[in-house]
Amino acid sequence: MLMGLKGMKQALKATHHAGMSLSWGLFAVLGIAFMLMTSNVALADKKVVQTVKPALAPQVVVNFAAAKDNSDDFTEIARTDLADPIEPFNRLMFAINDGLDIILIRPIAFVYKTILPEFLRNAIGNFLSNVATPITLTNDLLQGEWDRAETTFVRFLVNSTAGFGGLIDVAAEAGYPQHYEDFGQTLAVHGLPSGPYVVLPIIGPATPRHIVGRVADIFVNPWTYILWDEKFYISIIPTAVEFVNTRADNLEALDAIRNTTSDYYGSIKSIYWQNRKSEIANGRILIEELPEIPN
Amino acid sequence: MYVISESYLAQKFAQKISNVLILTTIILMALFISHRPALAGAAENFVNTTGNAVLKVVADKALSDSQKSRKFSAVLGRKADMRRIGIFALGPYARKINGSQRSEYNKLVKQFVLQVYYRRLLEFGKGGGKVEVLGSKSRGKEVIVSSSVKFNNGRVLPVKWRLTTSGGYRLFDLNISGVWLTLEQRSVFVSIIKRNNNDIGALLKHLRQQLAGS
Repeated sequence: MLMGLKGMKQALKATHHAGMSLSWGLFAVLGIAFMLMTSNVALADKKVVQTVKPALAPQVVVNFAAAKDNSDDFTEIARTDLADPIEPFNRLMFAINDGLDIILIRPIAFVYKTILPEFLRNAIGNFLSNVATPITLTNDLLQGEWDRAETTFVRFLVNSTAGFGGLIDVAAEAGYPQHYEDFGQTLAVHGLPSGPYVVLPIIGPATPRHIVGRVADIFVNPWTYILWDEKFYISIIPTAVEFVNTRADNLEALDAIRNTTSDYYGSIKSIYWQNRKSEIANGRILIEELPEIPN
Repeated sequence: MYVISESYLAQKFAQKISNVLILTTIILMALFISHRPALAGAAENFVNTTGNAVLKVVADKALSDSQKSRKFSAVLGRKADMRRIGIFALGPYARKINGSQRSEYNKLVKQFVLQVYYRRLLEFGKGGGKVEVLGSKSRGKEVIVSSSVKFNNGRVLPVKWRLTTSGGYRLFDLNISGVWLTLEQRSVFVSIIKRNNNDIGALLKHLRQQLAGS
């Protein structure tokens, strides 16, 4: 009977892992289908990326006289903003997530920030980032960003050794700053449209491309393999800690946005998309891509 | 009598060429730096002065919150191109707004945008900080100045300033860690108007409520 119970337990674990993989896989397939069906932001971010990744030509000339005046239609808005064809659903999801944030996540993050001193929170963040280095490194390479891949590799080596397993970001002090890459950014660099805005339960703002990217990153995330045989509630600990750590870092910023916006949903959507485009462009700003200043 | 080998001569020649090249490079660099456009210097100076002035206001412990807010609005209000910001934030509705709505909108949006800037800066800069200008890039009638804002609490934020140049430098938009604030406002304003059957009055109502509640 004990053997039977043990066998059942192992079978359940295996089924759980298989089920998780199947769920994420289905989610990814649905995400791609949704993106292909509803995408109408096909070229905006791709164009930004295609002109950003190579070095900027110093003699780029922008012919303003020939630029179309889009101030009286929605074309220019569509170019800079993320399409939101399922806005009612997204607003509902956002309201649910926001409610959870107010009653649960923010208070936890507040207590976490109050109890843990900054150096300790930084150490936890650094450690988690260091372990997740393969995600950034893989995507640096997939994007052909050799210099950034070198920086990532050096950071990993230096921080893992001199940085006590990644607790201290020694590499940043030595001139190797941190950056993050993920598969969603890689897909963007290679021209895949983002698809429309989607608000997921708990996870929050996303696009179908971002969702697919997150699923793919699971396979290069070391935690997936380190905690493969662990129970579910143990396997999600690194993600949960990172989530709370990040939320604690952004307590004041999000409070400021909430208290100063006419539409918190709209602000978060805009900030998410602008942040995402900035990440894809590795922080570079193309003046030519900015909307024109009115006369 | 010494025999001077060919390789020695070649080495000496290469060294001379190298010295000439280095000297030429240094001279060219000096010329380039001394002829840097005065325009870039003026824009960067504007950012340096304005940025540090508003940080000083926000960090002034002798002022109450309402005093700080008023002083901040007075300082930044003079330096920001509120007219263009207001037009931009309406997006496609800028041409649809009628006369009476326009005058109320101009008043409300100025107060609102300055309020937003103040409250958001307060969250980061209560303890004070310093703006360090890193460089600039101009395009037609605008300049983008890159800076790094180092707060006294240790936080460092990359901030880009988008300035208009017609009639002197004025601030049009701020990019904080990848997010343009005026662009964010436009998304929100346009969304509010659209969700209310393209009624600009709904936006004015929102702005009044936000300002009354602050």
